[in-house]
Amino acid sequence: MLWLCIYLPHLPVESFGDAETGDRPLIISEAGAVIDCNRQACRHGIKIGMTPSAAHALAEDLRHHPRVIQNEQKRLEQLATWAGQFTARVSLDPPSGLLLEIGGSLRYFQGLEPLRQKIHQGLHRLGHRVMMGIAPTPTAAGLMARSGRQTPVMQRSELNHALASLPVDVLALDAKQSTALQGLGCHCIGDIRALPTAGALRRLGKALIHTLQKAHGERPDPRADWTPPAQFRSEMEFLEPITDVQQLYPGMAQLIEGLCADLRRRDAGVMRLRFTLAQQSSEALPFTLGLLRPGRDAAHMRLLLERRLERLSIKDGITGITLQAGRLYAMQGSNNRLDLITEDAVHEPSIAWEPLVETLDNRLGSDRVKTLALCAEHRPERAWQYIRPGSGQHQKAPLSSHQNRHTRTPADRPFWLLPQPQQLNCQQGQPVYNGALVLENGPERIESGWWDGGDIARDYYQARNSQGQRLWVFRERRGERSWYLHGIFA
Amino acid sequence: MQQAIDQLLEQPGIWRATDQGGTRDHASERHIPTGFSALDSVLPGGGLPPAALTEILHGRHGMGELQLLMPALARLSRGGRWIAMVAPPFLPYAPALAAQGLDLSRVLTVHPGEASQSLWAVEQALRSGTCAAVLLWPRQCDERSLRRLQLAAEAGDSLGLLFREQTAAQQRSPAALRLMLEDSSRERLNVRILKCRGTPAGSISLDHWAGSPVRQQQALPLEP
Repeated sequence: MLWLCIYLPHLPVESFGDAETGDRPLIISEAGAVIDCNRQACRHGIKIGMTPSAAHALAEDLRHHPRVIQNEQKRLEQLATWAGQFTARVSLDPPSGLLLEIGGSLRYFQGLEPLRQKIHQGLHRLGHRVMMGIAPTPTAAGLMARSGRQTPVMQRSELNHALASLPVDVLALDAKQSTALQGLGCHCIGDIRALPTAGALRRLGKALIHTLQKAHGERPDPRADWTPPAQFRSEMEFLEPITDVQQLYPGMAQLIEGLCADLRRRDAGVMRLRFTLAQQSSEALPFTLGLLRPGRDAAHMRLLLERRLERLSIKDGITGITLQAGRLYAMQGSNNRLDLITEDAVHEPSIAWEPLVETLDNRLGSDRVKTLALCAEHRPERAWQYIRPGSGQHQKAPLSSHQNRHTRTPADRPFWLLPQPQQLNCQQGQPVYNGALVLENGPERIESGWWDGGDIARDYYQARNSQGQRLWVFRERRGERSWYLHGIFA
Repeated sequence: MQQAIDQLLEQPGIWRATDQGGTRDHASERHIPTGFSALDSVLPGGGLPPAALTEILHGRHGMGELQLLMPALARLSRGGRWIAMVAPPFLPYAPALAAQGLDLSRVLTVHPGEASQSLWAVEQALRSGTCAAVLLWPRQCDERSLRRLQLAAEAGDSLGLLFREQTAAQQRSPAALRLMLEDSSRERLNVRILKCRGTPAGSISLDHWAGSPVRQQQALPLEP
């Protein structure tokens, strides 16, 4: 067993989505004392433990917020879910720590250092400042993380030596315990361990000694595994309402990062990302990001988000964002196809077209991006249809059967079809469109559709006018017998 | 039969194993033959310039402006990349395109609402590298946006095909090739080359160009 502790010293600040954006200092206070501050506040010389009024004296435009412990807990749980991508065993170590059992993950991540790097970079992207400790027992890992010692302790036999030099501050001490330790002249954990056990128990209390015993592996230290929620849902709250769309991006990108980590854990992908933007004084604003095929590539989603945000306009301040994943899809491994046995040898291996279609979809709306398909139908306006790209409804059969049944050359059909046949004027019984039409070819009689109400009876001709335009016109065989323009041979 | 094969082999896009050493340079091998040998023979590289804009100036619709490009588009659509049509003026009629050999599953139609959106969409399509060719019908298009599109076509190695009014001939354009279509008929299409990188402007006419046998002209019986 090898445990890695992630210690988040600044969780009270970082549990707000916009703590570090902008250049205003921020303090979080509890019981009349500053317990955490952001980087800008540190630059002003604000220290933890100050009174808020002292902090206000140091920085004029200080933001001051009381601690919201529920937010921290929520954030910690989100991070535990996120950490599920590195190991199956994650447990919470409240108020601001996570414990990961990484003994079984080392081989997969090619060693300890790459794994540590990955976790560190991931947390950095999520906007967290982090300290990590690695030791064979969870309590020792926690102590190492709080002490800031980077060197991992890999063996139980090294524990005694490694822990002995840690200062006593890393143990969560109350006032009584720290005076007692001071009185005893104990400055590091090694000093406490050197005391006779019976006396130490009496002076320092059972809990502290038990903690030390757990750290050294002398006492069982069971930890409850974190079970991620069945449905992904992640939230972020802002201290101040955001009115600039671009400022939403970092927070949303972080939520996406969390989602993708969860998807990796589940080995699943999503096609819909449903954001809900909580507004200050009006209803929440839904905001959806669509993918064409199930995916969990955070970089790709961020790119889509960036483009999608360009089109978003917000009138009200945004106070929080919620991200929910749509339906989950199992990700299927892809086989490299052998060229020899592909069905359609004419095609070269097709390139990825989804990014382009997604880009267009997300800006223009998906009903404006389409591809064409044939339908087995004699009525010209029904012989084709728009379909969604990649929906795979392309029929090849109708074309070939059409060619077999009719001896007409395919050139009979125009490249352009008018959305609605356009009625033509007539002069001396001849149809006119930009000049008198000369009928060059025809008629091709199409009578069909009596069974579904779209009954047509038409004679189609290819016609040309004096301007050189080649047109596809027809004459109704019933009723008015008027002429219509239906297509253009471009 | 032999005649037909000879005619086929004249096309510059066909590489023959017997051509030892090859006479054409590398760049020209990437040119996209139009499939009309008379036109290909005058174009440098034997076809449409790749990764660049080509303008087709035609009067009204229905002059044969699409027919001229169909053989090239059909071949491109079977090369794995897509053919995008942005803001087509009418409905692209699938049966006709399929009959010309276009792979419909590789044809993307985009109907952006406004002119600015359509330029954006064209630029995306050109730049992405997903599309072998992007067809567009700009209503108005200044030189600056054309230059943007030209750069996008270079970046995405894509063929940009602009269909414009004949009046656009007066404007300057960064397009690598500008063709003007003049009085077409079923048997004959006059193509004027307004501008072409690497060759002087000129004019040619394509005979029997529509590719289908001319039918016997009959006196069409008009029903009363």
